[in-house]
Amino acid sequence: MEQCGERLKKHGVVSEDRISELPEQLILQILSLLPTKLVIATSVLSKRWRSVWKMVPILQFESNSNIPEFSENVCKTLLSHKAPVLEKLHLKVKRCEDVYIGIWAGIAITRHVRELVLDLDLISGKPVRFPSSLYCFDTLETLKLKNSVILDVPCLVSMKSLKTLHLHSVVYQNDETVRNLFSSCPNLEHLVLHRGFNYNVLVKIVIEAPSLKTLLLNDDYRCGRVDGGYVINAPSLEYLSIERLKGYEFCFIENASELVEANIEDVSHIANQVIMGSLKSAKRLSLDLSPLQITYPARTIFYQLVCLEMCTHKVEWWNLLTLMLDSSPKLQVLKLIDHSSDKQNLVSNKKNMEPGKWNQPEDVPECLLSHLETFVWTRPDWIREEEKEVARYILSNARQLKKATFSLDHIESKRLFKLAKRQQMLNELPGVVRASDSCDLVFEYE
Amino acid sequence: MSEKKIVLKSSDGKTIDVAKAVALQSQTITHMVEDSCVGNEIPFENVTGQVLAKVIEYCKKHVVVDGETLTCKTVAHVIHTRTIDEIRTFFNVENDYTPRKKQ
Repeated sequence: MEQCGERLKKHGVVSEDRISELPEQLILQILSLLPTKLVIATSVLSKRWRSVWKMVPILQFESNSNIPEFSENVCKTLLSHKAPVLEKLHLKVKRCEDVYIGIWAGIAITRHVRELVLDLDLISGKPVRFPSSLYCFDTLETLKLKNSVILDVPCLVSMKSLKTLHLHSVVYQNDETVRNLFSSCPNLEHLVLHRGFNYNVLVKIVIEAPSLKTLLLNDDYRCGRVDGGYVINAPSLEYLSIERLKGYEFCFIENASELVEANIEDVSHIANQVIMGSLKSAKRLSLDLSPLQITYPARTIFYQLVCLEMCTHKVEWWNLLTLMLDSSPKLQVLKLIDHSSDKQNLVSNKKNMEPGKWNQPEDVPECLLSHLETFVWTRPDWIREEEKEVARYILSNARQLKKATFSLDHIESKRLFKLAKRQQMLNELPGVVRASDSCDLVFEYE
Repeated sequence: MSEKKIVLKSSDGKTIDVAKAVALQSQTITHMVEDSCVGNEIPFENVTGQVLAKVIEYCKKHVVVDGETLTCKTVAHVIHTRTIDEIRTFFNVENDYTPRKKQ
């Protein structure tokens, strides 16, 4: 009654319910964004809301430490759920027994779930075995497993609808499991493999995936192995990202002729790799590497490369730039960026180097003569002579350059040396004789 | 619970199925529906398939509350951060449960 009075005061008439009469599809869309516990709670709002929760196509549960009670809630909810399609089931669980995973996933299968996300959030404790019955779950389209789930696939199985697979810190029973797993998903298009920590050590990861379009590999394996590695055979691959791969015997990427874009970051200490050579079909590349840590096969030409982005905090990055300029005849856009100021734990290891000379290209590269139109350098660090030389070289040799932008971050007033070096360049660069008559020189301040 | 669906046809011949109630969130579509309803199919002679798809995508992610357009995320946030009573107050939902049923 108090509420009613307030409403009358506000509007002079009894206000309308602002939410209950929205289109059902939109109400379900809104509720899909909320944890299921809350969604179920809406059933007490009014009679109209009593069964709305049962039609929400996404169910997400997070457990506390009382697993039996949690499991009862999950099962009860799943069994009362009436939506024609269960789009997604997301379970975030602290330690639990294998059998529970089997129960929850088993009911989810009968509800024809399209996407299953299992986030075990386990730091310590026994890993949980992924139920083998699920390997024949051939209507599942997306599967995401995180943390200490054991995958054991002893033979080929059928996951023919699986298009998206994310495996984050899972445990592979053996090499065969990996091979069988990927061979059982012939329609796999998007794969994310995040190695993380492991309980047992897998030697060789072979990914054979004829339909794969995107692959994100993040190894981050800190044990410092020197054997084993990756073999990737994905002829339809369009996007590849490899991050933090260190200390393996090999990394082979076979036949990536459809590759459009690649990001290679922090790859080092791999005895046999031809990663750079495998990227030669790419139109866009993003590299965060030092030439001292990666082999660069001679005579690799990036025939289709149009846009190159390079990070500038690794040692001798400028010499990798030379290699890339020499091998990328059609390059139109060059971006240099220093991430060490916005990624806190990134240490710029070039600082400890002795000053040296930049191995600039012997002859002016084809791309500078005929194609490079855009040059952007974000946070140039002009303390090093090599970096100043790079800036001068590009400006004075890029004949088609239309715009050169230097984006400068804030330097504290006490950093007198750094400020002085920057000012030197700011004074000098506009005076450099530019190869291109129509080049705009822009200095931006962040 | 099946909602009434309508079919939108773009200038380049593409058709999009959408729940009528969702599509009517867009003023433009509402006008077109009012003006030219040939069966269940609404032609958009000046709009390409790509643009039409984006409009429908927008309609699916926004709701009109009190004449104001909000994203579904905003409404979800409102629900997430309030108790049941507060939600009732905010959206003017009348509690028509009798006391016994509430338990």
